Amino acid sequence: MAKIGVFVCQCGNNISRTVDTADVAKDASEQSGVVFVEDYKFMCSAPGQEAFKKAIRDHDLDGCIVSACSPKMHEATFRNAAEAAGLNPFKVEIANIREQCSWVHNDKEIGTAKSKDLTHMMIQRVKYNRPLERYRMSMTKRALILGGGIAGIQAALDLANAGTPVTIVEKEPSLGGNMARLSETFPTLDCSQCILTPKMVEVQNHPLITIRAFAELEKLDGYIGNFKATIRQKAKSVIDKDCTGCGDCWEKCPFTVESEFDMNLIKRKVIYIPFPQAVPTVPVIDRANCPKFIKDKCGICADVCGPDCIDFTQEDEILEEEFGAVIVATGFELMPNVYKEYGGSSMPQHLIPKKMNKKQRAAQPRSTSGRLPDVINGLEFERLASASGPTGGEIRRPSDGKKPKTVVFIACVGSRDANKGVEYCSKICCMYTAKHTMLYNHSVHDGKAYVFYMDIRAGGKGYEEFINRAQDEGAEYIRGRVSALRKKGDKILVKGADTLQGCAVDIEADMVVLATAMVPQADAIDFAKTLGISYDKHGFYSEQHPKLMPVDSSTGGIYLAGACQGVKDVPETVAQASAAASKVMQLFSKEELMREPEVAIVDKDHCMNCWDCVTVCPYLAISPEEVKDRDGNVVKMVANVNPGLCQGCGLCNTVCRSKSIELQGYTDQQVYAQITAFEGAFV
Amino acid sequence: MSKGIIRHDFEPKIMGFVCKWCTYSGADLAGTSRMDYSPHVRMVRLPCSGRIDPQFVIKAFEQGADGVIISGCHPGDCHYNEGNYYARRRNLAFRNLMEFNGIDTKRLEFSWISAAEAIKFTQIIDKFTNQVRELGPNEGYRVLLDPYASRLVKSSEESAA
Amino acid sequence: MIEQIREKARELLESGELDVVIGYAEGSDPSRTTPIFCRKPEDTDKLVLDGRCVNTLPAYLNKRHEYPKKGWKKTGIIGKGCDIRAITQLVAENQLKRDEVYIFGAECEGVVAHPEKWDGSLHEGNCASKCSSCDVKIPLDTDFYPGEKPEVDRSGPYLVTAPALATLVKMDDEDRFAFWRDDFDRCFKCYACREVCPHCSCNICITDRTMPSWVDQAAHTKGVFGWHLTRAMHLVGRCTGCGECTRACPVNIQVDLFNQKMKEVIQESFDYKSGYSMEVKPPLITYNTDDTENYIR
Ligand SMILES: Cc1cc2nc3c(=O)[nH]c(=O)nc-3n(C[C@H](O)[C@H](O)[C@H](O)COP(=O)(O)OP(=O)(O)OC[C@H]3O[C@@H](n4cnc5c(N)ncnc54)[C@H](O)[C@@H]3O)c2cc1C
Ligand code: SF4
Ligand code: SF4
Ligand code: SF4
Ligand code: SF4
Ligand code: SF4
Repeated sequence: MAKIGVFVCQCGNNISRTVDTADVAKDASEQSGVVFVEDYKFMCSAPGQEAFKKAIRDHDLDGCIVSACSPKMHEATFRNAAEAAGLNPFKVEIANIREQCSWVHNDKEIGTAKSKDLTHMMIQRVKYNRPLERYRMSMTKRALILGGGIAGIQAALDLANAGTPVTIVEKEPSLGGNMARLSETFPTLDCSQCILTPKMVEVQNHPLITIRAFAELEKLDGYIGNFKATIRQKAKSVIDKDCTGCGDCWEKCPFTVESEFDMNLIKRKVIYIPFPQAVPTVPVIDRANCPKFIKDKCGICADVCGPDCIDFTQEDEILEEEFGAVIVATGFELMPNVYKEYGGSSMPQHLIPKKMNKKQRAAQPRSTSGRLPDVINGLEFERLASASGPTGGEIRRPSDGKKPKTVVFIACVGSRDANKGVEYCSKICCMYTAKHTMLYNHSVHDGKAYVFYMDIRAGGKGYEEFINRAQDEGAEYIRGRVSALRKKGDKILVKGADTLQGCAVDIEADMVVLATAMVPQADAIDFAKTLGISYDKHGFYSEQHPKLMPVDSSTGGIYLAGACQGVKDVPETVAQASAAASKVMQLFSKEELMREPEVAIVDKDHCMNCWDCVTVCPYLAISPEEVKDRDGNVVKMVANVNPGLCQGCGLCNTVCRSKSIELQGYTDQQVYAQITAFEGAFV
Repeated sequence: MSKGIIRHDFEPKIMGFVCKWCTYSGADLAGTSRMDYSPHVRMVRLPCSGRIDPQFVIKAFEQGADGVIISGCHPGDCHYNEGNYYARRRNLAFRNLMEFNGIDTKRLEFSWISAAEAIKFTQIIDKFTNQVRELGPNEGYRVLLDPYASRLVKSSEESAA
Repeated sequence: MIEQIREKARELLESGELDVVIGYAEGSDPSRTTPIFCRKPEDTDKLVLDGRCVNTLPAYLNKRHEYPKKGWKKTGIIGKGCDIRAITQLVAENQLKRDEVYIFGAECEGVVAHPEKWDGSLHEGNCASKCSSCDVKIPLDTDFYPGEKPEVDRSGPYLVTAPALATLVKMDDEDRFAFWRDDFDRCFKCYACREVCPHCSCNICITDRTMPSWVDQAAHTKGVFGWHLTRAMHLVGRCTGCGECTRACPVNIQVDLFNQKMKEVIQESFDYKSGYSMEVKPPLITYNTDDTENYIR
């Protein structure tokens, strides 16, 4: 027989004004299983809690109902008190007779009747509450950072400086990401390399940071505190630990291909580091283009390498490592030019097949230079303006190296265009276009920059001032769209409209710069699936809560930083990266991981392995498990819940027809008991 | 004695199954804001609208409920990301089934109420209570309620007489 | 047709490729056929296939019968188009592996509504209502099909054909409730409707669970309502429309009307027909963020 205590709180007169608490307590005392009742002024006060604990001890209670305020307020308080008194905390339930009764009904008779009913329902429920133990789990206090752009770099440094070992996995041969491509940065116009490179070097020298460049995450198993990552270290064909970064190999290599880092504006060697300040300074051989691999010719690099670290037979290495938390910082890319009128491919973004074969992918316009020469995108311009770029920082147009005297910048290419591009505003383009006009004016003093824009969005510290400065320095802003770009001799005829003047504007430009939209990495959605996190319709990763949990992904232990979560500039990226790092520190600051025990469990005798629960579980917490007989033969398969992953939503419980999986704390039996105790008495 | 609340000949019994992240919190907010609403509903707090099983509703009707109210987070707002999408499908099917069974679907209310929508919460409760009050007792089901028990009562009365 | 099937079945049993072939044989009286489990090659001579073959044999393949436990590695089964639909659904629900079964299919003329109505031939007056809108008379997924299998367009919607359904949906709620109340008054919870269903394959049925007993154990009308609502809900998007539940009911309750109604709803709302694909997920364990509804406030 149950021994239940019912504690009715008057809450000063907050409850007792419209609920006859003495009557509720008396009525409760008549319920079967109730051995103790109390009607008290302030249950949550220190003496109230003491009385609560004393009653548990004196009457050896095995279940308690506190009829009081919302469980949001004091469920934890009373559960802790119960624990202190030796009762399992999950044997305590709250009947919400304040927020959901006394405060919303002003008729005492009715309020009392409803409170009785709510209390009855909880009395019946608590009889079936199982004592639950919180799961304690050990953690691997190491963090995995995916992506080595400024977001990944910042998060790694913050964590490592706080004493946490970190591994950065970067798919390119060097850290740096898109920021390394930038020439100077708004709103201060400081040189991007100058602020980024020291950080990259710091990462390289930090004893707690491991860099895995030219590597990719293949698989992520496990859950918060205990992830297991399978990382593919792609074969660099160079032995990392011996390489001194002297550069003899790439000096001597006779073959070249287009440099991805330089947006294909210049060539690089086949054995290469992407840019001179690369970290690590270990080159990789681009096997697809190296004649040694294609037809076993050359091999000069191996001949010139002093420490003998070129290894043509090196193979991809699969590493399995354990981590307690993951920060995703995989960044963004620029939307391809899909505008036929701007010389791009006419294929609308949404028609481009998600899964493309190599050939289709190669046919996608990465830059626009193919069809209309000297129509370039923002990143290409950054390279042209960069002191370490293909032109040494002098702005010369790609086709013939002439200094362009007239440059037209077109903002919002792809952004804010739900039809062919993306619906959102890329937010950074107004700013970087203004920056570009300045960089241009600083480089070509007699040049003229025009900007076609829809609206100027410059909400940020010093941003509006920055735009004003650009205009003061001579950029001419024209509000309106460009309808077409045409080749005219060695110039480009820009056919635009000035909607403020209400007239058509034709400009003969030497170069056109498109501020194309910032979009997620092409493989962002596939990557999200590998990680088991959610994403929005564009492929940006979704935060747990848009306002209050902006750096938590939908999955516990995985955090988001930088442009992979949404369009961002560098300051915002860095802020988010530090926030993500602090979340990881918070997680790692505890000895062990405590998990609420309100998770699903499986009735393995009856589960019929239909996998409906496996399909619906939003956290991939359920997986098939083999049941073996004594001889080790598999007799059947059943569902198995990983309590580290389960978040307690109960979807599995609902879909399981034979009720072979149930959510502890909200079991069918508990709900059933509540329903059958329902009387709905009005007075 | 009665302060503000008119007592009707028939007062419906209503059971609620709600998600703790949104509707239950919305109800709490209605409380903190001291909004006044119909006192008929008894709510069961669940982690997600996706945890609400049609079985609960069937049982509630069997238990004598005249109406049942289900509520969860707006689409896209589910704490578990997708629970309410499943709930939406499941309940679409279940409503059709109820209707085919001859149970008036006006007795089953489904709504999205966020934790901030205290006003919406009270409006839905009031409106639904009135709706069910107008429909009257869930006679069909009430007649079914344990006919055997009532037969037994009858026969023992007869033998006593 | 049946000759070819017999021959193939014999061949496969002889070669040992199949351990058993489940099919139909002559029954206790000329109007009936009965399921037969052919273990020996010569058993196949008894196989018949015509309008009297009403049973949905894949019910034997679902987990509850655990035939694989008998040590049978590969089971042959003779299926009408609608039966094969049930097999497809069982595979989709992980209750069966496709390579555990060998499906003999043949063109189906339709079957009789109930053996009692058999008068020597199949005609409009005695044909099962499910057959009138059947789009799998040429079966979908077969391992053996006598002759050339023609291509059939099966893209059409699911059509409800039971005459009772048309009248029922026209009734108002009260009458419909009364209709079912009167019908359910007869139900004594023998659970034949469950046992015969290929998709009621749970190791334990929710009705047999006691903690809690969602479905009242007693066979009073309230509990029967609970049972039928539960059963119908459990089969939403899974029932493949064999109609066996209705046929098996000893007290003539048209149990499958619920399932038919729900098939229509599912088809309209989620564009889903069960038993046509092993890959597409049944509608209640998946969702679209832009699913439409007209009932939520
Ligand atoms: C033309 C242009 C000009 C800009 N100018 C400015 C400016 O002046 N001032 C300013 O504040 N901001 C500017 N920005 C914005 C700035 O570039 C971004 O905010 C910033 O680079 C975002 O950093 P990130 O680390 O999030 O992403 P990224 O820089 O994109 O870094 C992501 C990194 O992750 C790697 N990666 C991707 N996928 C994987 C994977 N699956 N596994 C491992 N590694 C992966 C990538 O190789 C890359 O190194 C500009 C942007 C553009 C396009
Ligand atoms: S839904 Fe139920 S029966 Fe199916 S696999 Fe999950 S626990 Fe087992
Ligand atoms: S309760 Fe939710 S999270 Fe946990 S196993 Fe079930 S479906 Fe997955
Ligand atoms: S009625 Fe439901 S629980 Fe019972 S066997 Fe059928 S599907 Fe399983
Ligand atoms: S519910 Fe009835 S009609 Fe549907 S598959 Fe089962 S037995 Fe056949
Ligand atoms: S077969 Fe008929 S009598 Fe038996 S449980 Fe089903 S409906 Fe009831």
